[in-house]
Amino acid sequence: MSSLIITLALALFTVGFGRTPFMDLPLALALMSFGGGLVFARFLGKHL
Amino acid sequence: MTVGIAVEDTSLLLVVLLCWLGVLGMWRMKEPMQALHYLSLPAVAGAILIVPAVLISQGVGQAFWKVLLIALILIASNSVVTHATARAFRARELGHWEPLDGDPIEMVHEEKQT
Repeated sequence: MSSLIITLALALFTVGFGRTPFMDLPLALALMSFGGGLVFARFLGKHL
Repeated sequence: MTVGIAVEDTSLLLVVLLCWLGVLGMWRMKEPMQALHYLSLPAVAGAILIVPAVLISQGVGQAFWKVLLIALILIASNSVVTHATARAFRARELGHWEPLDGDPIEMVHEEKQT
């Protein structure tokens, strides 16, 4: 959830401040959060 | 104020509101299965609404294609991650994730009568 919100917030900040080259940051976070979410689910099911 | 700016502002406002609604929904729901449903608000509707806002403000350029890619990644990955998390919750609660005889149909616990 937090990675999802931060991804959208970074995209909104990028548009709001007019720094379009920084759109790479939410793009990278969206890709990384997919793996992170799967690792979290695996950890949650086995260890928590 | 032109129509384009009004649509852009409305879309961005809706994205922010949907993010807040998703966070409040996850916070208020007691059961993890119920809370997981609120992930879809920012992941799907928020990600879709940010695309026309960037299209109007920046035009068809690098930023638009990147936001479109972000929206597609969020929509595709949200369902997979939500399903994996729900399965992990179920496996933690029941010891297995497959539906077996005698399992509760819904993973919602009854509130204790006081």
